[in-house]
Amino acid sequence: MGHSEYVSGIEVIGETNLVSVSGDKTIRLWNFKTGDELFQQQLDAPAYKCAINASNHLAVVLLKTPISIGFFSIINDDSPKIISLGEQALSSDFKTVTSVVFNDTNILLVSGVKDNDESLTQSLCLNDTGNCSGELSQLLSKLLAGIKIEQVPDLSILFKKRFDNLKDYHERKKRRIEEKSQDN
Amino acid sequence: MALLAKTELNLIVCIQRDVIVIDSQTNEYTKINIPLPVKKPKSDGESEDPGYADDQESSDSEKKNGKQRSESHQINLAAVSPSGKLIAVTTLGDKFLTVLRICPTNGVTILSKRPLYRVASSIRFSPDSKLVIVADKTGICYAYNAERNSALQIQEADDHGKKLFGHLSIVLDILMTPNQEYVKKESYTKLSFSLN
Repeated sequence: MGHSEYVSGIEVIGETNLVSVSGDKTIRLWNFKTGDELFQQQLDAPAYKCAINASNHLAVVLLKTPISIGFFSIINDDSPKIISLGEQALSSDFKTVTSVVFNDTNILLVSGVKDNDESLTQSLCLNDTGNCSGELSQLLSKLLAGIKIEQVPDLSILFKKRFDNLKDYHERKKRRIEEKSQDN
Repeated sequence: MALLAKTELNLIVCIQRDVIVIDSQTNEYTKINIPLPVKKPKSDGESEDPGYADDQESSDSEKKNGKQRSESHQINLAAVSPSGKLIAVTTLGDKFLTVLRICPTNGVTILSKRPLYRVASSIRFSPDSKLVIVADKTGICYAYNAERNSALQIQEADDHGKKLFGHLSIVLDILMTPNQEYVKKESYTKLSFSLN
C-alpha cells in the first residue's frame, strides 16, 4: 500500500478501513485487511498532519502559503468516499504547525511556531456558525505567550531527495577549475 | 514545542517540559513539570546507556561543526490514551518516555519514566489503553506497558519495552486498529503488520 511521497498522517475509519494523508498531495482511503485502495482525493498542496473527529471529519494540514487546513468528510458505507468540505487558511504568522486536534466536533485547535520561534495557537470552526475564539483561546494564548521553541521540526527533510550525480560531478569540476585558475 | 491532545474531559497542552491539563468544562488547569533525570555516573567500559543525554558525543560534534548548539530538552511528542486517563510524552535530550495519569480531581501525577534508545518520532496508545507504542527515526517500534505494574503478556523487560518490527526510515505516524493489529507508516512507503 503506497504513496509516492512521505506519508505523515493515518487514522482508522470503522473496523476495516484507514485513511492516509501524504506529501504526494493525496488523501487515500484503504481497506487495511485486503490492502485495496478504496478512494483517492487530490489536494492542491502536500499534506502534513491530520486530525479526525467523532463524525469522521478529517482536518488536514496543507503545506502552502499561508499554511491551510482542508476539511473532509469520510463516508464509510458500502461505497466509501472522501468529500471535500472546504479549506481555511491559518494566520500567516504560522511558520510551521506542531499539532492539530479537534476540541469539539466543530472546533479545531492548531498549534504551531512563528518565524521568531515563538509558539502560537489558532481555533478554526468547521461550520461558519458560532464564535471560535473564546475563553479557551485566550487561556491558550496566555499559557504560550512568549515561549520560544528550541528545535523546530524541518519539514523539507520529509520529501524524497533525488540525487543527480552527473550534475553534481559537473558542478564540482567547474568549481575545481575555478579554484585552480584563482590559484595561478 | 507546543503540542495539543484531547481527551473527552480535558485538553492537554505540552510546552517545553511542562504538561498542562485543562478541564474542558471549566477551563481550570493544572501544570506539571517533567524533571530532568539525574545522570548516572558511567563506569569504564560500560556500553551506552539508553536515555541519558550523551554529553561527550554532543560536545564532540559541536567542535566538528565549529558552532555552539545547546541541546534541547523539551517535550517533542505527546499522546493520550483512549480511556482519557493517561498521557504519554517523550522528551528530547534526555530521551525518556514519561507516562502521566490524570486524576479525577484534575491533578496530574507522573506514573513512570522509561529510557529510550533514540529520540521518538511517533507515539500512540493501543485502543485498550494498555500499551504505548513508540517509534523512532530509524524505523524501530517498541511497545511499553502503559501502567507499569499491571500484568500483561509482554515478555521482554518492562524497562526497555518489547521490540517490534522495523522500517527502513523514519516512522512518521503509527496507529493500532481496534482489534489490536498495527499499522505503521514511514517517510516513503506504507507498510502494515499484525501483532498476532
